[in-house]
Amino acid sequence: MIQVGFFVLFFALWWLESVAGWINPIIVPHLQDVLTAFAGVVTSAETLGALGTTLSTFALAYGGAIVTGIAVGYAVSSSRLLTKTYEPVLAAIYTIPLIIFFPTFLLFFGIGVKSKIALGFLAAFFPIALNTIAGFTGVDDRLRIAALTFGATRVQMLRRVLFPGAFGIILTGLRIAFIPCFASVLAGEIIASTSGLGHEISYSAAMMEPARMFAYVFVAIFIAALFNFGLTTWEARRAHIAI
Amino acid sequence: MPAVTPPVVIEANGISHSFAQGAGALAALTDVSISIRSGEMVCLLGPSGCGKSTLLNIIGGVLPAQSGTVTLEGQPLRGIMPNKISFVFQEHALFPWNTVLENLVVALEFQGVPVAERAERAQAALAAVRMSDFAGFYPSQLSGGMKQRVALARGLCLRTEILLMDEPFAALDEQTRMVFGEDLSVLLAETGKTIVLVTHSLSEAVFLSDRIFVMTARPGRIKAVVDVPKRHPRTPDFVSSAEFGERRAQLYELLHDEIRRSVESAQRLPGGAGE
Repeated sequence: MIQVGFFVLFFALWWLESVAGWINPIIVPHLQDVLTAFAGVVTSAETLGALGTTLSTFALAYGGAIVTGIAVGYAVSSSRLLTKTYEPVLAAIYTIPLIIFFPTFLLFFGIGVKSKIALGFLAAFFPIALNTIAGFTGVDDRLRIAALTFGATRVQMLRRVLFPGAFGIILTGLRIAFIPCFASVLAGEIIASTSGLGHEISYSAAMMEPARMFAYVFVAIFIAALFNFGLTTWEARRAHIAI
Repeated sequence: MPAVTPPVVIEANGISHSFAQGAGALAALTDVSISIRSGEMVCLLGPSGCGKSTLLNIIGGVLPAQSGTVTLEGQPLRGIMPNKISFVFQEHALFPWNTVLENLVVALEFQGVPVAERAERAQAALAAVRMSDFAGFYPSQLSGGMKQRVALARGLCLRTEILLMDEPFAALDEQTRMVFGEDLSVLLAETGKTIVLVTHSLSEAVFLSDRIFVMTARPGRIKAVVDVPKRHPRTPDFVSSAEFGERRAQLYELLHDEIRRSVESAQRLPGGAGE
């Protein structure tokens, strides 16, 4: 409810500014113009195409990071030596601002979607892998021993004990990885692309159409909020597990 | 009526075990030998750190003894035997992501019980501990005593001949412990299982056991074996009987110095003592 209140306040202030004209409308367009542009944007076929590009780029980057992140995370967590060796390496690379690799990706993959997929993948991979390691190593050893005494095989252990035990933290990793991934895809599209939401944002700015640009920004914000809400709700639904 | 002596089902000979090596080595057990007969309810009783949980893990096949042998039904014990031995742990060790019923079903799955039989056996075990109404609950929604009932049900549903219980009442309050103990006595009389219980409570040991192995402070040896010949199921009034009082006093006399020794050595160690 506080969140809703904040948004209401924000838009109220913007509307006030629009009416009073405090800021240059080239920098901050009037709210009415943005809303008009937004209505136009969400109904246009052009937007659908841009949305399709951005979402599919994101899906490939995020999906790829989930699969490889969990696989690598599980592999590293499987022995104390591997964890001790590689967890710090992953943690260190995680601190690098990955956008610096984008020009390299542009050289390798060109200006098309591949360069954005690569950047998004890299952004999501590290938090997912690190959280997967934390998840698996954090499974209460007593549960593992109990499973052994009942006769659990290696596969049963992974499926019925380790993965369920690790899943909560892995899910948090997925939530943490979402924004860097989505933002990287958008940033990549803004910097150099031929299509996508970021491309539309960049193009609108270049064409001196700030209202249209803000409309696209709202679309991006809306998508991000939706995903975040979904993941947060999923985490909340698991509260009864209490770990 | 002449009594037929039941066969020895677990035999441990000359068990010694240490944790860590070299200068920091902690001897947990020294030359421990015990034998347990089929259908007996036996207690390993001793002060904190005496190695009783270690001994339980060794006879359960979870921990290989550094020296000495363990035989199970005449065969050398080489490791975990999920079809013959099941455990009830101190901190229940229930899977928090599964419901009460699912916890039992997954244990049955691990043991290799066919899918068709699992639900029924789980339900039966829950009924035996009077937790049927909570089949769909998650462990986080249960009290400590209820969680331990479920842990007991899980051990029972596996239908192993031997049940090993590591301080199952330790995390429970006095009153829950009382009720649990009475229920356990009734249950045991009905099932005829062989049960080894680790405890540091003298009253518990006397109320539940047929025989009590009294252990010394670390490194643990068997100091004495105390018999409690009263038949199961034992009713609450047994606790106030003269026989109970005598046995308890006997245990106290045996253990008092050991407990003192273990507490003092714990105070001397930098990190404190543990099992």
